[in-house]
Amino acid sequence: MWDARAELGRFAITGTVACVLAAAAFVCAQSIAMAAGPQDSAWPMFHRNAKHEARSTQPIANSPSILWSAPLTGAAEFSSPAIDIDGNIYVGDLGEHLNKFSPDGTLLWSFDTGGNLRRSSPAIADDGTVYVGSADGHLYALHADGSLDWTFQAGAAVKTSATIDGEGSIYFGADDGKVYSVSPAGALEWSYATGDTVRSTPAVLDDALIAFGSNDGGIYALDTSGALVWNGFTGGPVKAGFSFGQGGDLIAPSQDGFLYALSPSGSLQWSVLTNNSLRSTPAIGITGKIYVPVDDELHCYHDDGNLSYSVALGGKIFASPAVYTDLSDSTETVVIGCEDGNVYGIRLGQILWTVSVGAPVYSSAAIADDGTIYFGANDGNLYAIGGETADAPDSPVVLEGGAPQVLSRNPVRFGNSVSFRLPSGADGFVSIFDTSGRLVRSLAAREGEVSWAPGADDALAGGVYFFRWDDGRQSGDGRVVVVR
Amino acid sequence: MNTHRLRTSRRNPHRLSFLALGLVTMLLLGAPACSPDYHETVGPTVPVPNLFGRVTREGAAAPDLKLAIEDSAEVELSAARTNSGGWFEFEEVPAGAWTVRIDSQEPTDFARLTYEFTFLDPEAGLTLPDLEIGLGEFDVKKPNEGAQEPVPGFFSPLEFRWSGLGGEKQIRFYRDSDGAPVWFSAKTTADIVRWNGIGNQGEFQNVSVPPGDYRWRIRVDGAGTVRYYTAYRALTLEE
Repeated sequence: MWDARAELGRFAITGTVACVLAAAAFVCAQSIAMAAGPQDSAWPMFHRNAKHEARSTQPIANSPSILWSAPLTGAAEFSSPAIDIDGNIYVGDLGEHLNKFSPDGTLLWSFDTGGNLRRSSPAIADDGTVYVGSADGHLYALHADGSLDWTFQAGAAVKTSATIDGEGSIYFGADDGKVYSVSPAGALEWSYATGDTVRSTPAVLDDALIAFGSNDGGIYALDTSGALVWNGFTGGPVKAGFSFGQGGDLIAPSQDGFLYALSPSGSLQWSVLTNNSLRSTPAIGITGKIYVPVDDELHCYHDDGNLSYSVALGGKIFASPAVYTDLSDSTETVVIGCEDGNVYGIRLGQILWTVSVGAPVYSSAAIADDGTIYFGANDGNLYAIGGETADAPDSPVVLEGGAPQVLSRNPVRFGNSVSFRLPSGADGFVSIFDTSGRLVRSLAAREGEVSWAPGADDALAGGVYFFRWDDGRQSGDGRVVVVR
Repeated sequence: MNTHRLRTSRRNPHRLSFLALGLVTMLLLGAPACSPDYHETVGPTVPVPNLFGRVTREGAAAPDLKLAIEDSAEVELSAARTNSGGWFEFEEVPAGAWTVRIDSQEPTDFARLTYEFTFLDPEAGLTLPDLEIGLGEFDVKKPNEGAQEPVPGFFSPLEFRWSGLGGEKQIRFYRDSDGAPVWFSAKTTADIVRWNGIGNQGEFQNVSVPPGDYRWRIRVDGAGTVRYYTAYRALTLEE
């Protein structure tokens, strides 16, 4: 659960240092080249961002069909596509190649890494450099044109995806039991050894906490210097990547059959027993819902661990889910591949559509800016599916309760409303929490704007409330004081 | 028990001794009317062994071990013991899916071995592959028998360690008083399993295990459908 009290303390210093930080950032931006974080594209890495939310607000087709398929040099098992700023798609395969395709399915180049990319998905940095780990034991950095920039040798095969944090550091695990941090220049920043192989792609919270699992059963949380923050144990190997939930909780599946939620400080918030070996990385919905494959079912949990729904598919699910959030009503469509050769679209517990490719799909879907969905399949093809998209909402969401005000109108009185403007002006959401960390409201922002009218339909007490905003590419937080 | 009419056709060499024994017994009983009908005429019937096997310990005969044959619901069909040569037999086993269960009290043995097989042709009989029950190099390291350990938690897991023998292993943890299952680990090929104390069986599902007396053992997946079980070890969890 989000630690609202800790946030209070943090906000106390925010005001005094914000200007200094802003000025420093401006000076830095003008004088030196900033380290490259992930590219500001639709889907720059496995599960879309370093928190592994795997969530997009780009409308997808109501009933998609196959737009095109393109052959790879081998099956695309767990390697999942990444999409760059121009809409090009990168995906690895069992034929040891990283492949780049244009949005129309034309192969632009294919790079031989010398080892299979069965479990490694590419990650794209802000400068267009593409990183991918290989079973030959190297992390490869390739230029956008497919030429090699550098390689970094790990101690064993690399069978996780690469994760890029906001500072440009690249994190990945290897079969030597270590997680590595490598600079954008290819230099080792640090490595951390666990007791067994690491197949769990590291997730990163706010460029501060790096979390991953190990086959030794451990859940590890490190700081960005590679120092252990905390480490706990499940009852089985932990191969799945983790995700960070809306409140910052770490959502950690284990092969012991439990789904764990841990606070950033490592306290166990809840656990759910699924009685199945969990191997897929969860997706996080805009309202905090957690989407997790469990054997041949997709489970949707509330952020307190209670089951919202489960849907049985036609076979076992090894892929990880991706989520499209409709900002007009915050409903979500989960896109997930299945061993039965279908990709499913699931909304509110119902299967909306299926697209059959005739081969198992373990690769996790990536959603482009135009709503096209990309995934690999075990038949050795990259697939693009899409079609006519859902209608966009007619107008920006404005809540009732008085004229919207900018955030400077704070505190806000009951009956009035406070409006939020996201810095990017993009679609996103704002979640309101009370001081205990309880989610009070989740608001969808259109074109960066949304309003909240406390008291209009919320039975709330006066006092301090916290909000977190996220437009899928940036996030932040703040507080609102409500007076009666 | 179901019986088959005695027939002269024998495809298994181990049957010869049992056939001779049966014939001698009947002759000694002086019951001519009970003589077997070698010409397919109607006559009396006697139980016929049709499932054979041998249990070994470090490759040598493992005598005087209890065996049973069970169906898939673990309902016992019949019981037997190994002879001095480690051989065993079961009579009149019908076609179906069966499990042979062997129990041993020897400290150098696994406490239990099970072997699942499908019996297709009762008339033809079946000789199972040799079943090795010796622990060999397998050694359960910890916790020791009768150990006292703190109640495990996420940051202070209980460690189970062993060495030797390939195959997947699984810890099975039970409440001592009634044998209620508490937690079965995920299967692993590693030589260590840690447990954070959250149960996954029966009434202990998603519940932190309370202090008390427990017992546990390791299940080892051998070749094919052979499963080994170590002897139970007692364990007390303390506050």
